[in-house]
Amino acid sequence: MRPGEKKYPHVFSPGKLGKLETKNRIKYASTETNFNYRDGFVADKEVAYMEAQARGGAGMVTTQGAYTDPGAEGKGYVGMMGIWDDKYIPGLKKIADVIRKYDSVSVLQLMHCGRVGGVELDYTVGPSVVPQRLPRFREPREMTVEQIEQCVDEHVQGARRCIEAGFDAVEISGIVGYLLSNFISPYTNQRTDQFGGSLEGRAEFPRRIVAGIRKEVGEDYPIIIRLCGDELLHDRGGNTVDDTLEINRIICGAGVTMLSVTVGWQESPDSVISRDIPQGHWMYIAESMKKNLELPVCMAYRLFQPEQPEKAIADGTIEFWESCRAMIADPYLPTKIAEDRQEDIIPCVACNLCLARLFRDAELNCAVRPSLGHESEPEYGFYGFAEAEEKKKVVIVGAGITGMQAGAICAEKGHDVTIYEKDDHVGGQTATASNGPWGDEEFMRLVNHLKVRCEKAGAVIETNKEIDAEFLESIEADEIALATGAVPDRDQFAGGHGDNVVSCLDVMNDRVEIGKKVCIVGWKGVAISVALYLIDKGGYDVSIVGPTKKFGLDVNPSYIWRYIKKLKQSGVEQYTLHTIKEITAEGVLAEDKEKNGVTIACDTVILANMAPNKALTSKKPNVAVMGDALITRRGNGALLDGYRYGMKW
Amino acid sequence: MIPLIDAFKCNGCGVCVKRCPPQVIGLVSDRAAIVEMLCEECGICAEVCPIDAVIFRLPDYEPHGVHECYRATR
Repeated sequence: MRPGEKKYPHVFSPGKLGKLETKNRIKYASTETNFNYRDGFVADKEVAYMEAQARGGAGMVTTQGAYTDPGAEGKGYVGMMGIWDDKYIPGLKKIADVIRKYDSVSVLQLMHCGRVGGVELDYTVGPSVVPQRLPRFREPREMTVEQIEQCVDEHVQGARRCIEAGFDAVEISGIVGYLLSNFISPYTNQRTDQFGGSLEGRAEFPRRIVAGIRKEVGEDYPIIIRLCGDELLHDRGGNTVDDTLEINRIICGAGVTMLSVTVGWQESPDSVISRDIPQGHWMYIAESMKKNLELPVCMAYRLFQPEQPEKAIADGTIEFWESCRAMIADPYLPTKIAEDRQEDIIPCVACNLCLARLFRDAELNCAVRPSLGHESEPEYGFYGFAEAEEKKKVVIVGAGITGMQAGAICAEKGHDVTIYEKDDHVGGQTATASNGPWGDEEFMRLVNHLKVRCEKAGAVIETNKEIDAEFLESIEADEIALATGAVPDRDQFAGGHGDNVVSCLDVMNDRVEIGKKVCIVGWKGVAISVALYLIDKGGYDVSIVGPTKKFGLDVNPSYIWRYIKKLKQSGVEQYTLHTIKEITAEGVLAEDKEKNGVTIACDTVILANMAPNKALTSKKPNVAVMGDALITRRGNGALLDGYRYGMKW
Repeated sequence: MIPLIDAFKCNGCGVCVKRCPPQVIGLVSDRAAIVEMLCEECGICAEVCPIDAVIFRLPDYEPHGVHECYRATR
């Protein structure tokens, strides 16, 4: 028995799905990847990704959703796989085979995206015509009864193909705004026929699908269904929690083996899966489902670490711990927990870059794992980097996430790596950012992981070691990389060196005294972070000034709206479209768009206009610059730079 | 998937240069050019290009192993 299995005995106890047995209670939850071909055929890239998930040690692995209709009305992502014809079976079989090869239970998901589907069409389909609230999606058309009946049949045929392809179980997706959930919710279902109206009517379409599939697949074949436990659409006429429970009871009664419960829609006005939601927050919904439906329940949603799932499985609340983003970030999560080396897990920081990519018809990306989608390419080192033929001495200046990422990979390839850090701790700007409120401390998981990775690979990190130009010239190394990060640019505005001007990094590290009335100069995510930090601390009168139309344009769309909402709630004055002219002892002098002079009076000016740190430069041919020291970007760019630098040697 | 600039089509308007989040697109001979090593594959350049001169799409189907020209008899 491996050490982690003793620590988390319930997570690693065999699980049961109908008559099937799984080796543990971890289920990789379904995720779109956009890796497949546009005609719906499975790409090798997808197979390699699924292989990674199965090899990682999960007891059950779910494929991405497959659309069931030939018209592609159910297709919500350009690279989604299809299952509407027998011609897709050989491709799907590759996935089933590769999951089985690593002793994992394979599950195929059927998904009709409904209201958020029709990605290649100029319309979507749904139970009723209810206008879209999110600009990305197209207007729905009402489905006729014939179309609905055909759709049920297409799902049944999909389940048949799922068995023919060799999958152990079938899953139906009815969450976040996909077709089944559209029928369930009174917000989108305004029908008066047998598929709408009453609670039973709204449950009829999903019920028929489940019943139809059950009839097709026989008594013993497991059927999993994903349904919302709470739609969080209370402001626009969604189901109450009690109604949802009753509807789920009707649907599950038609022959469901296990319920995977989720929370919220894409249109929900509340946070569901972002960092401000504490881990394990939604467990009460799984509890209520389990208690009332008496059916095995599994759940994903903000469960990144094994402690809470362990407790929930021990209590009997959930049968399986589903994991989606945490396993995109590191498919080997189950193995690493089992071996009790959680520090080796590449931690998901809930940045939602993966979601942002999918919504732009791009392939899935992961900020913390650049090898995503390159699992079959040895140079990306997903299964470990090959030893370098020629061993080099590599020196990296700056132990931020870029420096540590690059250092760890170089050391794993066998190079002799030294990282110099001027601070007394590693992590750079990421460590600073982790002082922010509402879950930002999770960034430290990433910093700690990279530090451990450097240590284990043998890269030496020397803290409290500031490098000057002279020392840089004297370093004898084959390769030198400057990853010195970014600092606020004091020279951008007149008066930037005044006594009342401080750096945002010093503020967030609590290294300077600031007055009660502060003005933040900056327009990107950093400025917003500082404002949120001060709001959380309390007692400050905060304003932000910058020349752009909106602040935080670089921030992920799934975060920025709630940040702006919090700024507004806290009374932060936002001076958008203001050109900064000068900083004086009184405050910031700016010009609005009509060229009127504006004085923003304050005690302290906080500079958050990040620019590459040019304190250290060199003309030596073996010196490279990377990360924010090259171009200031978000964390994903920093990690990608470090990764690509490491891959080079 | 790193976007490909259709250099025959690009008119050098510079919208992608302005909107690229990591600022890694510039103009070379009045055509947009991406610093590929720093590209984050986000696809915003393709989204904002007013004349669809940025090619950023998944392959339509599995590429065939044998090219047409080898089959042709001539």
